[in-house]
Amino acid sequence: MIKTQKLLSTVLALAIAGPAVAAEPATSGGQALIRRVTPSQYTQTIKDIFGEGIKLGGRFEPDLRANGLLAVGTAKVSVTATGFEQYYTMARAIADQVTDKDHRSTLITCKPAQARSPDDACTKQVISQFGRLLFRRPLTSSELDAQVIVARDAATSLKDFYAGLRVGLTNLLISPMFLFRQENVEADPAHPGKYRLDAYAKATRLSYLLWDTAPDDLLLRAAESGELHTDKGLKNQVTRMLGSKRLELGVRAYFTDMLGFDEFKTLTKDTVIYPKYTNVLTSQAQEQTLRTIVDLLVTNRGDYRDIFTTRKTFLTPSLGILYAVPVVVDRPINTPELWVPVEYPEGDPRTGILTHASFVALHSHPGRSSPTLRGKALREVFLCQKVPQPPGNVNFEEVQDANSVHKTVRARVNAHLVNPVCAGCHKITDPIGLALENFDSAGGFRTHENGEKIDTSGELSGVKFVGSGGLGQTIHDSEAVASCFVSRVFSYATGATPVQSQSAFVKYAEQRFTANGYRLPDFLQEIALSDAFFQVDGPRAPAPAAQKIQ
Amino acid sequence: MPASRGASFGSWRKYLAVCLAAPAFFTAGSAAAETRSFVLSHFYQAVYSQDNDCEGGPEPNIDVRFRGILADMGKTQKEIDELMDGFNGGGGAGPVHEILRNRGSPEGRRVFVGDNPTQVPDPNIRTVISKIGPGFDLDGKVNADSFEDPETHQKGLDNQYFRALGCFVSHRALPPDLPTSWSYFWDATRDRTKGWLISVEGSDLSQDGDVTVTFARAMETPIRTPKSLPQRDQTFRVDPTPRYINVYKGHQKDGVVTIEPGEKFHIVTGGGYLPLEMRMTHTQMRFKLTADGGVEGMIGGYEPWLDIYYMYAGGGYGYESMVGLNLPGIYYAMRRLADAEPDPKTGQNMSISTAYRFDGVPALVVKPARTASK
Repeated sequence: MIKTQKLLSTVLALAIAGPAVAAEPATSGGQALIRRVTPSQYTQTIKDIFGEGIKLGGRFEPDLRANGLLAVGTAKVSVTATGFEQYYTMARAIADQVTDKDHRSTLITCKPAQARSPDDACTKQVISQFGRLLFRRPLTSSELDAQVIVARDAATSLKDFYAGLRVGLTNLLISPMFLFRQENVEADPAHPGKYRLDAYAKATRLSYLLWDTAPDDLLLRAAESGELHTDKGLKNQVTRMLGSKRLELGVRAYFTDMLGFDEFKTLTKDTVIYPKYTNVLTSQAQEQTLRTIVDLLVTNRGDYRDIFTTRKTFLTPSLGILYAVPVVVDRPINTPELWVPVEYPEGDPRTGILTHASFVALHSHPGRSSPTLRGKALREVFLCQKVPQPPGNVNFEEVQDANSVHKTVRARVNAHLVNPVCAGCHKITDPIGLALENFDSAGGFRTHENGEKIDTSGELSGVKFVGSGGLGQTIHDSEAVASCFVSRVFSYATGATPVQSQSAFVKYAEQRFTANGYRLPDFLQEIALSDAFFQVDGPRAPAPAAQKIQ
Repeated sequence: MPASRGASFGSWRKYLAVCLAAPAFFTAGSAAAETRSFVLSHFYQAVYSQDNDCEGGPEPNIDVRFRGILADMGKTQKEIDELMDGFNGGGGAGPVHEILRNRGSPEGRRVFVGDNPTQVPDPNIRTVISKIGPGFDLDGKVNADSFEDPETHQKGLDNQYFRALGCFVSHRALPPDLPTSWSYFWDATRDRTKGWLISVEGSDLSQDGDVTVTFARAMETPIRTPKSLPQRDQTFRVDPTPRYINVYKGHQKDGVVTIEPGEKFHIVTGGGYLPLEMRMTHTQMRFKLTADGGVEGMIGGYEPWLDIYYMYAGGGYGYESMVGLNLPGIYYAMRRLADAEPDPKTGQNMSISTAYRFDGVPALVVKPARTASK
């Protein structure tokens, strides 16, 4: 009887859904991780909980990039003494502001009986309210009691309720439970012997993937009620989150990570050679690409591959200077520059994000372009192919001398390739990087180098093309670009590179991505509703006891 | 990037269909097939300072001159020494400054000498006696006050403004250097001053031929490079106020563009060493398009000398105590050297011949964008 019902429901589902859709393959191998929250997650979480006006007043430790993503590195980092000092500084600054006279009336939801004395009830209310949002789960009674006691002692000593509360809040903000996303597992009642993420860890994964911030109240409630463990409950939350404007935050965070924008922190350009490159452009170059991506993939639900060929972008007057494109907007003096949408004409060499300063300038030397760095980045970031580091004993003199007899980078690189040790790797990077040689180290457009016309012909996997337009189209059409993206997003979501036992899901997700027209929101929904996204192995068996040496 | 790409508005017109409208001012000539536009990097008085071009040398430094003024006012050496003890580099507020600032004393009232220059006798500041200097032949005559161009050796050049102030150290330089004060004040006013645009249109700017030259004011302030110069290829909209748009017929020969003389020039400035509204008649202009895609040249004509004088006076006593000028001295020198537009009643010339050098970088010139997002 049950089998018949199942068959009927399957037939009904097929009738409604149209063409047959393959079911998600059963896989195993996920990991429950402890991941340090990223600077953007920390910042956004504080903003969401305490409001836009709260200043952080500190700086973050550098993140670690692992297997192409900082998100994977978050599971491999701890907190150094210096880093903790900064977290503490920020915690104090935040707690000070939250409890100061300007903010307490709006942020603190109760008033103490006496302002110069402790008030455990009010403290408990505030600590449990903020603690739930910061820890992404309700505080345990011992966690709550500990902070109430600390706040009481401080308030008594300092004769100030709010000073006590400040200490309690500071403790929450420097707690590992806030600074790290600790993914707890529990026995999976539907699959005896197996484990699953608990509902709060599930909510946290969802929230950081889709919104790059901690779960909001509704999502935590869905976790508390157990709704998140049901298909319907999960779908409701995913649909809500995908329909929110905040999806842009999640998409921005993913591409900021994938495109390696953290490297802008250390990017320098020789302003004698490239006077158009200023500090303003460091942030605007990133923003141009992120706006372009969000507009294409989220606002217009476009094809992911079109990021390599789109003629649409957004520019500021400063970027207009860099690209020598007319951009005019009204703005009062000393106000931030505004953005205008721009669409390049057909055939324009500036199409696709590979021509943005965020790519060509980021992957160049301070005083000269680099087809090798660009080709390497292109393969590693968009095609998930690893390019080896050069051997330690290579003589780069021929390539680095911009005043050599070889006037163009192509000629210099070719001269360098007489060394067979170098030629192997350069063959996989330079033919694609040289197609972007119309863009100098700062991202400015050029047709000549040292008076010689630049040859922008290139090749990728046997496909020959010319210029940035040809390169963008070739990448767009490459099969590897979609499979790389799927794998990267899944790694970003789970915090770990897919293992062999998850490969069937990755393959399945890739097929779904293709079938759905390479649309990012659909793909994110696919991931967020999948079993694989939340799947975890159980606790490892305890290590065998060390043998005593006789 | 080749210079022609950034400089040529025509090559970027295709973008305007998308986000911007075509600039009416700079493409109005139907025959014009090529337009190149520039935003000025510098605009400063055309001078040519050499040894011995001022009788007795340049004007003495501030300390020496102030001592002389105090002596002329009848102060004893002891009094002068005591007063100058509080001089404090020109920036102080001691008694000496009050005395010097308010040395004009109509009817016993002590008033700022800059506003009342004739309340003191002509101090006879040193003026340029050299025959070599930059300028334009505005009157078609070669006379005792004319200059000869140091490079082309053209004679009959009029530039009495240089003659009047060219002995103040702050106004002295030998090209390509800029006079110190001009450099300072131009730079100091850039971030609050709209860009100045020059455009040249012709059928083929690589060839000799007729051109149209436009000198206009932008609606945007230039964004600067790390070296504080205007960025190349910034986009500017022309201020549509007709009074600030100066269009001239011109001609290009051997790479040098000149305009047909006689027209007026009018533009709103950012202050500094320029009257807030700069008015010029008998305007002449000469410039060349440089190999790096920029422009450099000179503009000149006759300007009301009182406009110029009260610009200096408006700068206040600091122009005397810190820059080293002598305001009554400037007044008398300009009045004496003014060389055009005599007052019908008094015969006093009310305008003075001037010349300014300029240089600029390529700019994109368009009408305002319609939309913007935060």
